[in-house]
This record gives sequence, C-alpha cells and structure tokens, in this order.
Amino acid sequence: MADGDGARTVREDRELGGFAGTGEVTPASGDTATDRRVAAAKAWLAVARAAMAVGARPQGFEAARRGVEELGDGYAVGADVEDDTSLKLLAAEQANDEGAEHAPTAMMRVLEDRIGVAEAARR
Amino acid sequence: MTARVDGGEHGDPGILDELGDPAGALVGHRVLLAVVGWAGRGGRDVTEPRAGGTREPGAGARAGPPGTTGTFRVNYTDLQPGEVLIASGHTHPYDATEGGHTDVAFSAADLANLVTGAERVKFVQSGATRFTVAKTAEFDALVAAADTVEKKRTLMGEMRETWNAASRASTRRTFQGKVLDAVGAVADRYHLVYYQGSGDDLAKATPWVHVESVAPRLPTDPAALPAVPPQVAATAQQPAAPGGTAAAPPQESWLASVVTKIRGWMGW
Repeated sequence: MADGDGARTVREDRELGGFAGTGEVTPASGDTATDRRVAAAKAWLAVARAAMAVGARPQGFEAARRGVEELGDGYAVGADVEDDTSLKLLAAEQANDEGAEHAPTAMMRVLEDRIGVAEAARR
Repeated sequence: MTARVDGGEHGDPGILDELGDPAGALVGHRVLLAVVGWAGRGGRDVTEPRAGGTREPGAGARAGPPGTTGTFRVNYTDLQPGEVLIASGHTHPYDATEGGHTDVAFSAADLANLVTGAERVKFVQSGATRFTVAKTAEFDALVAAADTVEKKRTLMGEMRETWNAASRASTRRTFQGKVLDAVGAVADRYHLVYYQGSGDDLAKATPWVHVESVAPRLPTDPAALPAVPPQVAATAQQPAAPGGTAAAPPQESWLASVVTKIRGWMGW
C-alpha cells in the first residue's frame, strides 16, 4: 500500500487477548516475504507493549514470543552484527517457565533486538 | 609485553580486564579487538621498549563501539597496518529486567561466526567468569570444505542448530548450565577448543576438545623488521649457570619468539 507521501509500505496487524498492534516497514529489498515478517514482528511488539502498559504480563510475554516466532530465524542474514539473542531467548523462555516477573520484558528485548538486526540487514 | 590476553600480572591490567563486566551494570555489549603488531608499521604503536633501545612486538587492544543488550559490532576495521588480529572479546550483559544473569558462555552466533570471522580466538567476560574458544586445524578443514558462501551459511546454520538443540535437550536446571551444554556440544562436534575459568585459572582449565590451534602469523616482511641483539634477549630470559656464567641462549627468530609468546598468553 502507499502512505500519504506516495511511498509504499507493508503493514501488518496482530491481536491477542484484546490487545492490538500494527507494524509497518518500507520495502527495501523487493523481498516481500521478509518485509511482511518484519512488519508482523513489529505488530507483535506493539501488542506486547500495549499489554504490558496495563500490567497484562502473560499476554505481553506471549505476544513478544509470537513476534520472535513469526520473524523466524533468517532475520539476520546480511546483517553486519554479532547477534547474541539466542542466549537472551533461552533466558526469557526459562524465566517464563519459572514464573519470573522479568520474563515478558526479557522476551520483548529479544524481539526488539531481532527487529533491529532485521532492519539493519534490509538496508 | 604491554598487555596480556589472559589477565593481569604484576599490575598489568591485561586485555580481558579492560572489558570489565560488573554484574548487571551494563546495558550494552562491550567489545575489544586483541592485536599483536610491530613498531612503526601502523598508526598506533603496540610495541614495547626493550633494554638496548630496540622495540619488540607487543599486544594491544582496540575498544569497539558499544552494542545493544543483544547485539554488537566487532571493530574489525580498526586493525592497523602491520598488526595481526589474534582475538576478539565481548561481554554478555544482562540487566535486572533480563534477570541480571552472569557467568553466561558463548551464544550460538558467537560460535557460528567463527566460520567467517578472522580471529582465531574469541573470549567472553560475564561477571567474574571468562570463556575462551579457539579454532583448530580440524575446524579450519571444515571451513575450507565449505568453499562457497552458501556452504558457509549452511555450516553456520548447522552450528546454530546444534547449539539450539543441545540447549533444549539440556537437563541442567539453570540457564547458564543449559548454555554450557550447548557450547560443549558445538565444541565437541566442530572441533573447537573451549575453556572457562575465572581470575588466573583460565589457562589452567581443561579444554573440552584438546586439539592444538594454529597460532596467528605476523606479516612476513622480515627485511623491514628491526634488528634484535640476541644477547639482550638471552640475558633477560636465561638464568645464570652455576659459577656465574650465563647459560648459552637458544637462537630463536623474531617470528618464533612472538609465536611462543602468543601461545603462552593463550595457554596453547
């Protein structure tokens, strides 16, 4: 779709437990599938933030986890960075299994970082 | 030497100590390149004066840009002419919102990136614990066999999946324990030498896969290297023989001397 300036954007909407979010990216590489995955990950991050804003921690964790899942494992191809988020993901999952309070923020950090890597790779 | 990779000695802070990692205090990664080089060959001097006024090759470190909590860039482009990259190091920061973890070993990407990274050694400091991984001749052969970009990506993907599968299969209770199992699985399968320890114990740790790594080589341009009076080095290195006569020094080339030093720092 085109935004108000005529530039094309890819937009994805996600919802979980009454929390909704939208993610948008400007296509950079012509790889539509990747663009949609990144937009979807951003949408899930918006959902997680909306949930956490009202203290809905389980929904916050789950939305961030779904964002990581939908972004997939190929997000870093071409990025000029060292990516330690595999560690962060393992720690977040373990924290959630143990019912730790920081589990949602830990998972959101993973998603934020991976979105950043994916966007760097698309430039 | 002006810096030691394996930690401080006699007040020398050591390259690893320059990283630091107070538990939970860092939001982003810190990064260092460890280098060895010659005087007068690059923009920055990593050599040390010796008795007699000559200089010998030295080790140094280049701090990289700070990273995020989960990602960072290694400052490979900071390598100066005449220097050889011997290692890269970084921290593993976890603030309170991520659990405040310390003692966290290598990530899947830390190990997989050895396929394309120029450094032969990587180290991580996490809290008080130091982790080191080194390439081997066997690992080099695996990388050489992956002779296309696509094959290298496949190899890296396999290493990451080995890490992920081992962490999921680990029966250890703690996050750190699961990471150790994952690192051990990758080191075993892909022939990497893996150490862990703290303080001065790193070099004494038993590697999980004991295969000698190949020492990095300095630029081979001997004609441009400064001359070294052998007797100066010999006097400093050899104990006096009974009767007060200095023992005959072994004749060791500059390059051999440097390689010996590097192997000493790395515990190879």
